[in-house]
Amino acid sequence: MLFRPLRRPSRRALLQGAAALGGALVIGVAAGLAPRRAGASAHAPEFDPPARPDAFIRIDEDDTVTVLIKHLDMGQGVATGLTTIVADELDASWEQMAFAFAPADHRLYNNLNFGPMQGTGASTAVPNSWMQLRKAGAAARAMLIGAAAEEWGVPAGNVRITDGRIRHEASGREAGFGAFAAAAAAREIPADPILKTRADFVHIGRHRPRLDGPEKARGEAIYSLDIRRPGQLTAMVAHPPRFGARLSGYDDSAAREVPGVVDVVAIPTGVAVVARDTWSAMKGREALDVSWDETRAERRSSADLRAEFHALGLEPGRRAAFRGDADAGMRNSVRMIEAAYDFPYLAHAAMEPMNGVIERREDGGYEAWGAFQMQTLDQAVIARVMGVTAARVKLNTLYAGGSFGRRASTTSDWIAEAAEILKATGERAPIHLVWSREDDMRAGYYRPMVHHRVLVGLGPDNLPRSWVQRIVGKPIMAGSAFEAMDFSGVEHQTVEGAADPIYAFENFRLEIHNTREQVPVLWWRSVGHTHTAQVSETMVDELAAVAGADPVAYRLQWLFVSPRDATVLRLATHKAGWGTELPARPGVRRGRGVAVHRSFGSHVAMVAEVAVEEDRLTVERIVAAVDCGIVINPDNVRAQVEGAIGFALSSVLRNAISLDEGMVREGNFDTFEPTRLSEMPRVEVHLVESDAPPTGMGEPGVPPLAPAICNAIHDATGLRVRSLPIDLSRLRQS
Amino acid sequence: MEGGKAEGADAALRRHPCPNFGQSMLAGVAVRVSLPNFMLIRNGAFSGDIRAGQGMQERKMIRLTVNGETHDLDLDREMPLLWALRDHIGLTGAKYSCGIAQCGACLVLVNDMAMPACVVPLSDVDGAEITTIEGVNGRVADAVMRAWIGRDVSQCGYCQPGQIIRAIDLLSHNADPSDAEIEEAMDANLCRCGAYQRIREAVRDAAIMLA
Repeated sequence: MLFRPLRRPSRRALLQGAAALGGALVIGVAAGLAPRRAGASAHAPEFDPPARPDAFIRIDEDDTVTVLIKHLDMGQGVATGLTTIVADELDASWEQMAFAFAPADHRLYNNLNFGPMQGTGASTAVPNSWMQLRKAGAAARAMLIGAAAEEWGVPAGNVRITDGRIRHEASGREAGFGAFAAAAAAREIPADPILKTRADFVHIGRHRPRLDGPEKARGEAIYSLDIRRPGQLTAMVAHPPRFGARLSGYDDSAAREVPGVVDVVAIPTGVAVVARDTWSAMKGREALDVSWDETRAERRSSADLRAEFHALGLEPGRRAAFRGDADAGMRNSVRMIEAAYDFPYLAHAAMEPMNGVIERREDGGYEAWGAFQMQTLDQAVIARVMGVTAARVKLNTLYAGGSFGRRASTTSDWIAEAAEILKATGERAPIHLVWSREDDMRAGYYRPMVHHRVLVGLGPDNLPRSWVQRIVGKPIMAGSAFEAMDFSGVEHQTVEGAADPIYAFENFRLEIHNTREQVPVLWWRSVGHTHTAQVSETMVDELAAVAGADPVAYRLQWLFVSPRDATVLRLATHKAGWGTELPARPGVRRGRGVAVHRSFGSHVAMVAEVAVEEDRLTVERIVAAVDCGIVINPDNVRAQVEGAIGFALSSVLRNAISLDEGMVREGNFDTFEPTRLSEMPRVEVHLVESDAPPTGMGEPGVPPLAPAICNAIHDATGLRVRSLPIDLSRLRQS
Repeated sequence: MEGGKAEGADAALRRHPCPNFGQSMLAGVAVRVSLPNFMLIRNGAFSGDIRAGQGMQERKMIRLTVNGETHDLDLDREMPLLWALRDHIGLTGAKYSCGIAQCGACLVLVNDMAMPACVVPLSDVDGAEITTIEGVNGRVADAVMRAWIGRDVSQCGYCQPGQIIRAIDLLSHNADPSDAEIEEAMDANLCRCGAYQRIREAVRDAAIMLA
């Protein structure tokens, strides 16, 4: 198929973790060497990174162009998307394009949105790479043209590249990239290469199939769970049953009797059983007798936390954002609407459980294989455990079997655990740390449990005079290496989507209470927007109903400050046939609901159609409209919105992680069941034409789903659903 | 203690209508296992001498024919097939995800029927013919893979070997499935990326290619 990297490594080499890219001729210097810095560019739309074709592009003698991907591809398709950007500025043919994951190197591969940190998240992979890769591609193109012009003795201005061929029309000379790769690499990198205009794009905005599609369909894609290093041992860890508990003692005599078990070691996070294969490690762990010191452990149940959160919600909190004078607005109100919202902890539940491989290298450094989402942090954490400098830790980033934020752990907890086991076992053999599904689901790092309380004051005209909102929950970066970034006590990830409403409400105040329960929390696909969009978009629907207005017309009235949101709202409702009757079915209540939300710079509106039959809710259809700026790959944007819906639907319908005296009740897909195919609604995705710089689409498909569904339930039944997951028994009572 | 995989598998089997997996196959009863329907065990599916392993303590070599190659394995007879394939035979295409037959990431063909390798003990497949994603071939497999690539179904891709095995199993036994039959068969396979719309379309595309 299309993905044909040169010198494709054998399957054995891949399983043993051999670098996927070897011996290629490189444009410029090898990645990792001292960069030749190019001067600053005069025009800088978003970012102005220097042109670094040497860091991102390799051209082989057979014309294959390999783009080095600095980000983790966890399914969002970034490897294909970033390759497309380079292919376009390089005027390469799609058939010659390939990709490889870049090494961990904070000098070359930082996320330009994150500061001094290589990492993937917040839907930034395309936006932060956009100018960087365009400039890299354009510079490489100029260098190839320069090399060909010099060799042919013709002016560079008369040499063109189209569809992967370098041509001089007057003399009829023509060559591929490979013929001039070496000469081009020796040339100076142009500081300010000429970029294309949008009209000249040949790949961007067109359908380009995913480069990883064929190997994933054939079962050839290698994930870290598939890595088999010579002599590798598998480790499984007995973790404490409650967050904050500590190991107090263990008896490993029975575990050591299990055939295949090689060693049992205590590590800071529990007791690790190290064995020759996964089954032996599992059996060995079952045979362990471990006792825990739970004196300082989290012992509250979900209901206890909820009661505490609710009590806090009644108290004024720290002011996080405001507009106008909310208190004066309240005084001018004649009527109040008050509402409370609850959101549970949610597990990411990626299909590939957390795991990673680490070994000591012959040179005394360390090498690890994993789905690294925060390479700079992962590298630093391994270095700290092993007592070396980060430069001596080599990371091999592999495909992730899903992440949804989990692999961007603020503490690199999973790879830290693997490193601790390697250290505790004397670094004799490579260690593959494998978590079972239950380990993965009970380890914490959940979407925070959150409570919102909203008070809206209405004037005599039933229009809002004041909106006061409180959010109660645990900040994601608390207690992590990122906490230093949280200067104000107001964490962006807690309030995003609520702090800057898209509606032109005059008087508004947002307050927060930061809670400190011991349950580790983390970003979960679309992060704060997972709850803030549900609150704002169901409350706006309530306000429309109170005003006796159509929910779309009401929103548009307040959206004059947010034209891109208004546009997607109009497009989605138009395509969904808003205002037309849904055909009736006997015994079934049907309804339509709408929601619009801006997240990560992208704008998404959704119309949901639901059917309610007694307590059975079916989401039948979702019509989405998206404005994410310039679209790199329209089919992938559609795929991400379809996937966001499939991913998030189960959290709307049923998913919750709950605590029973501190212990996590759910452990596997039987009790935390992701969406299944039969539940998947028909999804249509419509894209807005835009000249704005591209914004990310990994996450923005999630936030509008829940409120669109809840508003549709209201349309069907008159029942107002505020908290998630939807309590289906209430539907029957309605 | 954390719930290990084996504990999870036991729990899953306890919920099943047939408490003993191996015996149900011996009895040759067609049983639908687990909710949602995970695997369909058909009559006379197994040729190997399963009885020999039942209740015996001493280790006996397990013979598996995997993708046409015979392997004699000296392993714990209770070890699920998945770990024998992944850790001892070196075939990592079948994935571990739940360990309790809830997700289908580990599906392989056992005597041409899709089965979750994560809960099938080796003692139940002694003498069986196993086909993993690495070994599927023929008209149906080609059509399914072409359809999958054509629709760009894969996102993270981790569940896709199992999805594809399930689709091959469906189309091998029912070349022209209805939408409801596609839904029923594919419902047993989880995709956390939520690529279900394309999975549905790709199965239909493959059926059209095979018509």
